[in-house]
Amino acid sequence: MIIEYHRPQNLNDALTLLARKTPITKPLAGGTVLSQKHKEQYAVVDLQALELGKITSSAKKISIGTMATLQEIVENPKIPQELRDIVQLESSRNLRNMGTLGGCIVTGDGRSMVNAALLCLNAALIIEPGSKKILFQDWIHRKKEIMKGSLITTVAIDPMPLKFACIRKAPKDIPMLGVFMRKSRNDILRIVINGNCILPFLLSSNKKIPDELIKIHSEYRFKDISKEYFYGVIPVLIHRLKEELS
Amino acid sequence: MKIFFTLNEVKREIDIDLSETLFTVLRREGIFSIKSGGCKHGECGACTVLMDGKAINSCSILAAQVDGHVIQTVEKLGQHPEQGWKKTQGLDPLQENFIRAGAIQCGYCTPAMLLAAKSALKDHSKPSEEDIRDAISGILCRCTGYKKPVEAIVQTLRGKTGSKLNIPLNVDFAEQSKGWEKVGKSEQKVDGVKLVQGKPAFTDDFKMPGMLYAKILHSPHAHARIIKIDTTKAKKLKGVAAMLTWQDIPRVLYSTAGQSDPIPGPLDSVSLDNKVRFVGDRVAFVAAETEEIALKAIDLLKVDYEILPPVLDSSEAMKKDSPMIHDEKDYVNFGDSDRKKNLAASIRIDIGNVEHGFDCADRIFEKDYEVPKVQQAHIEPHVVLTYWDEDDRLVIRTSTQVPFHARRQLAPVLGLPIKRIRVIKPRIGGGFGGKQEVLIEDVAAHLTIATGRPVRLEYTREEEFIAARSRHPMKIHLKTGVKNDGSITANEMYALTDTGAYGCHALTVTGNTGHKSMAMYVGDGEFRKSPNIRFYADIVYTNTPPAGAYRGYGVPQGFWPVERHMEMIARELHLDPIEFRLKNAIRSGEIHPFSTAWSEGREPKPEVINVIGLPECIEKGKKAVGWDKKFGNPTWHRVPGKPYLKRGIGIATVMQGTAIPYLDMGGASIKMNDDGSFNLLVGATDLGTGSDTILAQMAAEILGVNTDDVIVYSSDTDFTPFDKGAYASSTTYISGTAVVKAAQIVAERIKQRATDLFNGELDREKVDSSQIHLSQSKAFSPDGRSISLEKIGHASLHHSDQEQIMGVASYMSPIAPPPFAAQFAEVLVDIQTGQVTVENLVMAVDSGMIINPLAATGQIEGGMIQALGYAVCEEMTYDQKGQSHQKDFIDYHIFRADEVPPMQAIFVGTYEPSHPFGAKAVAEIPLDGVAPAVGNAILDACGADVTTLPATPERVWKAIQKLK
Repeated sequence: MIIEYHRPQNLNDALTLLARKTPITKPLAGGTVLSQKHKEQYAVVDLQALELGKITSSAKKISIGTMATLQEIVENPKIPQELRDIVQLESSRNLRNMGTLGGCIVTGDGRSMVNAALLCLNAALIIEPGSKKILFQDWIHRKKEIMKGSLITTVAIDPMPLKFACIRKAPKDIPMLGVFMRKSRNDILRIVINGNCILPFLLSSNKKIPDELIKIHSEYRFKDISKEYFYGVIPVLIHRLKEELS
Repeated sequence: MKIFFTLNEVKREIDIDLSETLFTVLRREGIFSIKSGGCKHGECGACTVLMDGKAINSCSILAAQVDGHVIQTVEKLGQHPEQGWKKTQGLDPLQENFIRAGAIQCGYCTPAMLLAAKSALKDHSKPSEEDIRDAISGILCRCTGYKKPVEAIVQTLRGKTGSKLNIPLNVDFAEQSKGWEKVGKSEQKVDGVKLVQGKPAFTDDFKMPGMLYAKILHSPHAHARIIKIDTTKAKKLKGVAAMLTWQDIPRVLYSTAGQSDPIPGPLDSVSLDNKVRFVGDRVAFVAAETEEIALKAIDLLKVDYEILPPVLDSSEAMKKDSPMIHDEKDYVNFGDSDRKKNLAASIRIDIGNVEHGFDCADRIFEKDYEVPKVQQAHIEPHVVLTYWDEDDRLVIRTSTQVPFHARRQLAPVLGLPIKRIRVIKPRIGGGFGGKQEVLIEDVAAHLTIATGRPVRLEYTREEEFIAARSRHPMKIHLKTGVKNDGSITANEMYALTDTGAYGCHALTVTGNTGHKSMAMYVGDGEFRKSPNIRFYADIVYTNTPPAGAYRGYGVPQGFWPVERHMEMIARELHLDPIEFRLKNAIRSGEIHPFSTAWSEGREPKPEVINVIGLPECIEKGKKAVGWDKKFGNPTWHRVPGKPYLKRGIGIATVMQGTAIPYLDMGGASIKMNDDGSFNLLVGATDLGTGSDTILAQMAAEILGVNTDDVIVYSSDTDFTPFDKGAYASSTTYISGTAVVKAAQIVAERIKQRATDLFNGELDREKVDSSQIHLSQSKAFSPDGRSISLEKIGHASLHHSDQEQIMGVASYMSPIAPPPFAAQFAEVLVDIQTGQVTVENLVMAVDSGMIINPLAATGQIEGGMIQALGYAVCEEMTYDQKGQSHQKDFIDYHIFRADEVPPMQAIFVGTYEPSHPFGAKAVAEIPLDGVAPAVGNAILDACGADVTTLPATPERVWKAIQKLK
């Protein structure tokens, strides 16, 4: 239940509100999650007036304001096409018109195409106050701790080519499993696996893939993919993406 | 909090609660075009509005966020062009094209589609079809398959607003339809103008003063006895008006299946029991001043359960040591139901001499198949409003397919005589069988009886998944004997059906599985003369949500194994799969084999099938899909540069039924007005199929008027004649014949009065009423004179020998002429991952004469996409405690506009002599053949034999591994 609604006109005011110990205060982006009925009482800080949706790009960096809607990203020619395709697969048009990149980062789970892509791209998050930079791969495991009283304002990514392949029951269904891959500028492969699980997984370069797959599979919801299939298909997708990248 | 925003070009200042969504606020402000799909995460999009020109879900945004913005709804898009003395702009071209293109079926999602389309047309100067599909991807439509909405948007884009779409009838129809003016034409939907404006036509669009909101406490356990319910805290909550548990209302056994009397199944349900039998079963009802208070009260109920071991697997249900799900002593058996064995129903049908048939076979083929539990997924959830009227009669306004059955079945449950219940069926936002169930009407009615106040209850999407009905899952064993020349000598099916916790539709759905799918192939030669067919089934209880009626009613379950089996046999015997099917398929003039043996527990009566257009369906379908160029062509099966991708093509031939003989009855009443228009009152229930339009067309044809001169009202148990309701593909055939008979009575009377007027003219030749012809809203004499129907109607009511010209008729059929179809699918299979992409669907149908080609193609297209979900992605699954894995449209995916494959519907020209206009059914048969056609196409692509639906990537992959 929402007990206070604020629409600050500048970032400082927003951060002051978010820093309060009571009542529990949450940032409100598109509203697709916080508009639903919740039993707990909390205040919301609507970020729509803060102009946090800017998208800028250079050869080595794309910065996306976290209040950019997913559809704005899909339509922005500065964003590489494969990333726009991934964002388009995140949800249907209405939800892309409403949902923001920031909302997606904060609420998305292992099924999120965007979060898997950000993890694979080794995206950095700029967090206020203090303009702290933290890698998305660190943030997803510590988000509760990091997010207290703070706000992600920008996502920065290195626009290196990204490839992905997902297995779905229908073309726009949630991914049962997916593999995302990119090569860094020093030619190191970065592989992420997503699917019907709590978080996307970054495969470590120093571990054997089969060992990691056992752990990843154990975290899949509903056990709706067998180990046999998971272990059989992930290497196929990895192989294909490697070929594509090479 | 106060918000300031612009709503439909008017600046508004509105008080809101901080937690309120825009949806809640707009509905309160009288914006009824936005609808609720009951979803939690904005998956359905029925509540779409434009915010600053962009399509968004009003249910997924706080009203507070809208402060300072511009909101537009369909209410501002356009309006009925005739508003009396007031000049209006009329409908928007997009609205007009939605009507013309047949883009509306139930109409529940139509306003949302219109807004999303409007936004797309504004955003793009030249949107591609892909852009259009993406633009409407946020709005789920379970009726249309999206083809016609996309066509409507494309038409608007091209600026074709003046031309009327008219799908030409196949040339084969021409002879019999010669002279018809309305039947056989793509007439516009009679309710189209209402639906494109988003008028308050649906159940939840009506509010009553003092209305309470109801909620149900659902069981968290699959199987448990209720020891105690502590209601103290909940009752103390301010705003709670009533709380009912099993101790508060009379225990009356009934069946929730909306069927004719006598109910062909066990009576195993009560409104509230002291035992719960599935996760989602009812524990208590609450009525409160607001929905929030009702939910809070539900949370405050404290229930002590004695948890019992559940039965979750149908294969375990009949085992000796299985827990008994229905241990209540007042359980009422039907036929062979046996609660001690968890057996809701049992079927044993033997036709001919099956053992002899197997003895005659050169080869015996046996295999096991499995089909899943799936949801109807109508976008409008179950919703009901009950209240006492001024005469202390209980009014039940409900989204139901069966208003008359609901009245009859609820009367004893509520302790009221039938005459003190009135059921009103407003517009329905899709049903597909899910609303052939008396599912929640009793809940609201009990609470109205308890409080004396109006009560509204609407299911959430989660409740639809955990506490509504579904298609029966089945495990099927099929055994077929075949001669080396391809003649089938005997066919035997055993089906183990899981009816869930209650036996609603248990017997009849599974009976239909055999009755249709096992009737298709009778064999050839001596075996054709005396087919050998066995159909045995056990329908068992489990502690899962009950199954029920779902479009196709058991037949899709049967054709999955039968059509996969036929394909496998043909390939094993190196026979052409189509020739093999035609060699053994039933032919025109033959007796429906099951009609001699089974009739849902009633006396069977042999039925001859007059017309079977299956060979023509195959011929036309093959041509449309390019079968001869693709089947058996290795080049076509390959994808250059991608050796892991294989193409495949498959066919399934299917049949359905048209109504239930000697049982289904529909009535119609027509009265003439003083302007020559007519009121048609029918109990038939248009749940989005377009049946109101089709019935109006048939009446208009007989009466010689325009279709929009027939004003259709359906249905209200106080005002309209009885009709069994919308199921069994019967409305065009049964209710339609009743309409034709009523129209003929009216037409006769008009002709008589016209004769009197003609013969009153001096110095003219006398005419006989049999010579009068009604056309163009006039009565014509043989010598070319005419009198307008307006003049006849006016005179009959006001001037001489005054009378109300009217006719009432009803119809019950002794036969159920089956429609037939050939369904084709083309697929692309990734043989390394098992991922299947369906690339094309074609369906050629013999449904007799097509009354409205536009509406009929819409039925086929929508049905094919529903069936595609059954084929590849839809499945309801449960964990070891009976908890549902799927509670929303995220985990349970139904096809969106931006992912459906191309598809084509084709009609073949047959004429069913038992119907006044030669029609058979069309609504259910599209569900039957898509899955097996896809399965056969996968087999054709890579040899993978998937026996369990849906054909998920993993199942296909595993079938491929078996080939290695």
